[in-house]
Amino acid sequence: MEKKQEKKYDNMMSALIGRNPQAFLDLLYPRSRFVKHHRNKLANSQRQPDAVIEALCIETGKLFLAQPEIQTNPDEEIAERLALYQVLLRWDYRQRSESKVWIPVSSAVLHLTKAHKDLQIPLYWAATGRDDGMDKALDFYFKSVEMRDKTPEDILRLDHLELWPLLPATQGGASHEIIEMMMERLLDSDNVELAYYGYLVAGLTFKFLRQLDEIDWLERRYKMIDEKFSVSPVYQWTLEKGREEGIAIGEAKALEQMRQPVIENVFDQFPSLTNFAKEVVGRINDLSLLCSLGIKLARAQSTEEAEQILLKAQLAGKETLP
Amino acid sequence: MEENFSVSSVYQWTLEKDREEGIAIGEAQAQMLAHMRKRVMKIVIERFSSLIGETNEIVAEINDADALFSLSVNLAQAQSIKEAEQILLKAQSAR
Repeated sequence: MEKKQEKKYDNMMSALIGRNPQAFLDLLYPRSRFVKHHRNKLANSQRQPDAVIEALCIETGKLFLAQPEIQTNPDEEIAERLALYQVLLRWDYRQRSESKVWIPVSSAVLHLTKAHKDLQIPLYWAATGRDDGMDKALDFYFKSVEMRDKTPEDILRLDHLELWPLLPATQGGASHEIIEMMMERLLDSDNVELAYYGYLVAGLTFKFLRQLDEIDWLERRYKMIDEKFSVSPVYQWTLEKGREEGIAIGEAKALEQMRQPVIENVFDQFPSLTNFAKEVVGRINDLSLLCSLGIKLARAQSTEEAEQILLKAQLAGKETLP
Repeated sequence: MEENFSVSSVYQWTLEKDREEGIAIGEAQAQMLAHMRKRVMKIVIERFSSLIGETNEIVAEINDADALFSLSVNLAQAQSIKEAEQILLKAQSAR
């Protein structure tokens, strides 16, 4: 069995930001300095922002938590999600800090394609549903940055290699020239991982722009060099995921093949139960349950006994439904 | 967690690369498990028929082809129902 790649981060965006948090601070929070990373699994919650970075605001000299979120596609819930993260982050920080302070939190969303058409800043909550501002419950401000508003030069000027994969998402960045330049530079560096991110963003952008010819071009280019990505953990996670999906499909195929003999046996021995057997067997998604059922049915001495076995399996099978 | 990049064509191409291999592995693993379970049951049906029900329950809980193979070898060597029963109990507690 191949050794599973160690997964330091839970998703690709966290991994990308984690490579160089200062790069993303420079992009989203100019004039701030990275202090440290915070755990991004929020306490008492299944929620997980892409990153939680403690940073220093150079102008004020004060600490704050930067909470950048990278969005690939327009998401109508992003503002509510960021508000939720804010509350959880502030609360958690206060609980854990000795001085019980409420730390400022700044949320930012970086749109790789575009923001949702209904996104509004601030997010406004009315206490009783009135929209006239008379019973305001919350005004929540956050940064919203669209990569398509940036030029390739804006990114290059920040001088962080970790931002180069974002180039195809910039204004005019989805061009052969920019993508080739990006790939040449990133593949030539020690950061092949970044080259893979660059391809991911290029694929995302072309798909968003519906440039089918460009997707074909990108695929040809990608297939010529994809072996180079093999050292990239993110590439390996994706391969692993594809393989796991394949295994599940393979198991389902095998299960399907094994259903038939069980049904055929019922048809031969207890023809009146064939339809019921088809129904029960068709719902069993667990190989061991199916094998066990096949053996029990093969040993059944009467139609009544077989029916009881099927009824029991029907109950057990319900528990294995996806 | 669903990856945000799953919408990127490149992500899909990478996923597809090992998917076929995964399908073959998944199918082979499932078939191997089924084969091993049948092998154990065959031995018990032929030699220790009073243990069929118990064996069926135990075997259904073992999802490791190597463990099933080992069980089949041990059962094939068992000299008595009592010994076979002990082997089954051991296999059940080991899973």
